[in-house]
Amino acid sequence: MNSRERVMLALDHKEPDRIPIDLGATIVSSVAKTSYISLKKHLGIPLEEIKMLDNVQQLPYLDENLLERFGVDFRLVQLPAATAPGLSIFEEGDYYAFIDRWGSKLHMPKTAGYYYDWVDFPIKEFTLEALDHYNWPKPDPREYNLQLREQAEHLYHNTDYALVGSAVIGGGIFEQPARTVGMQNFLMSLVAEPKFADRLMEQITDIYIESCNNYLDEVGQYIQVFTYWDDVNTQTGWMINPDTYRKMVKPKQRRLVEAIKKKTNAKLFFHACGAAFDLIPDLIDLGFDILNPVQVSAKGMDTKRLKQTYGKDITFWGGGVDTQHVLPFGTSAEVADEAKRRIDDLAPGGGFVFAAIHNIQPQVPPENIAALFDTALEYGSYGK
Amino acid sequence: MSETLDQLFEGIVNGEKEIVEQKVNEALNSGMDPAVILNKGMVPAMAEVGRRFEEGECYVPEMLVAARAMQSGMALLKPHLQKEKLASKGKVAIGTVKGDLHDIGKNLVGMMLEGAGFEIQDLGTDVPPEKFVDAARSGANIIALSALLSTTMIKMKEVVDALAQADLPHKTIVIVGGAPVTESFAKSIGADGFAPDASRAVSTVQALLG
Repeated sequence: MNSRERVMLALDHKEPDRIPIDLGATIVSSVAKTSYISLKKHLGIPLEEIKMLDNVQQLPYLDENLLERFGVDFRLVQLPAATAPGLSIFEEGDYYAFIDRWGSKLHMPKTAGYYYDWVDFPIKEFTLEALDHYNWPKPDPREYNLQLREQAEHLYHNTDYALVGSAVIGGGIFEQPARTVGMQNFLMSLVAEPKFADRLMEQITDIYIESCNNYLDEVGQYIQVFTYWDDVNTQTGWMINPDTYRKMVKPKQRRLVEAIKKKTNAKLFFHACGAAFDLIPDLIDLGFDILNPVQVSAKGMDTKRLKQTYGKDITFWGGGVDTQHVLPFGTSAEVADEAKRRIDDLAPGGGFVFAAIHNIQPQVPPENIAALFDTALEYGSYGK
Repeated sequence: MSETLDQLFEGIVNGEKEIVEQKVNEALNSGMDPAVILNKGMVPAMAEVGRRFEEGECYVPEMLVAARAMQSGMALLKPHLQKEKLASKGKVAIGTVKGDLHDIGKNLVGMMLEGAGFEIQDLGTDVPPEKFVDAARSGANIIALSALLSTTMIKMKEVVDALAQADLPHKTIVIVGGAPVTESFAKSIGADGFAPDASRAVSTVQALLG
């Protein structure tokens, strides 16, 4: 059984020979640069010149030797998401800085910095006029998608990997407004200036539909999974009133999903951090097939309960080990024990892709990362 | 008198900034004691917002607009309060630790503590340990540390240690919070208190002060 067959069976809620394994197939299931370097040293895999895929989260492109070593069943066919092509990084006081394609400024501390974060925003007034005057970003030019098509076509015909991609050029429809006007401002506008919030999200949706159409016209026939991300939960529940989500956010997500489904048969992957249990029925209703990252440390995200309640309707992609506590601070044996427990909970009947929860952060001991993926490969057999 | 205060209370709970400003002015013009406006109208309103948040009756956006309404009312009230020489319940220096730029959690905690009558010194984001020590030296008796990341959370211990070694002139309480932070982590680094959210940060500080 090859990787693509294995993945398709699992995503169809059937048991393949072993659980499919992901590292780096998405920009929310990869590994940060510093941990990537120490992992390769630990495994004795020669280090190449690092090329960055995602500057915000400091994610490098992962090389084939590492992916093969861990039995990764996926390959990524995607350009950097949030950062515009031709990005230039400059220094500003104690920070490295850049301007993203939405016109927002990001900072990363020069010392002890791990991420770029949004610190200044192009929309400063929360009025419809401000939206009229805002310089909206454009989707990538066609030649980028032609390049991706070439890459996808090659991987599709010459390898057996399942291919994963996206063309959402920013955060989700709920996340991107926060990166364009500031998080507190956007959250307040949902209740205080709802017309502004609504139109901001509508126009972002329009841009994503155009970008996804352009991408899927070239790549849609080759990919098996299309990824989308939108965090509407905190670690304890909803960040906003679920009625507000269903009235203001979900209809726009539905518009995007309907556009994507016209252009590809790929399974749809939804990345929602935190306590997403009560969001799952909405995702199923929208037509999403996959939930990621399955943050097991958040409230109500017990893997047994998730599988029992929604295991027939949605694939769990992630949840392999608690990335917040066990993976960085536990022992290798604790990591392996938890990975086995999550596999026991989530694997039966298929509908499970093994991955860490979100990107593996800096300073994670390389032996823990190796223990995680070695356990997945050894313990993840369906005995067929 | 109580009708204006009731409307002020409702205005804050509903996040209606204009109504809050109007009612604070109305109360001041009627000659009401500014300390009464604060302690009978405004502080209970923020406590009610905190209760609703804890009970899952309201969410982060509602809490933010309520805090914004409270702050605009406070801006009008403050000049009068100083005349009254009203003692603040304590001075909180709050910031995200070195390397961490994520500030919404820190801001919410600051707003809720301010709403409960504490004086807030916002040190901002990416704050090195020595700045927290300086703030404690210059009068803050509560140091509040925030971190979103598992990688920056460990910097909290450096702040706790720096404060312990600083030979401060007064007792200083350290509270910690943020996504990866747990009660047991807080204990392990020697912090005095931990709260899982902004509303419970208030009760944690109040309990620690006795």
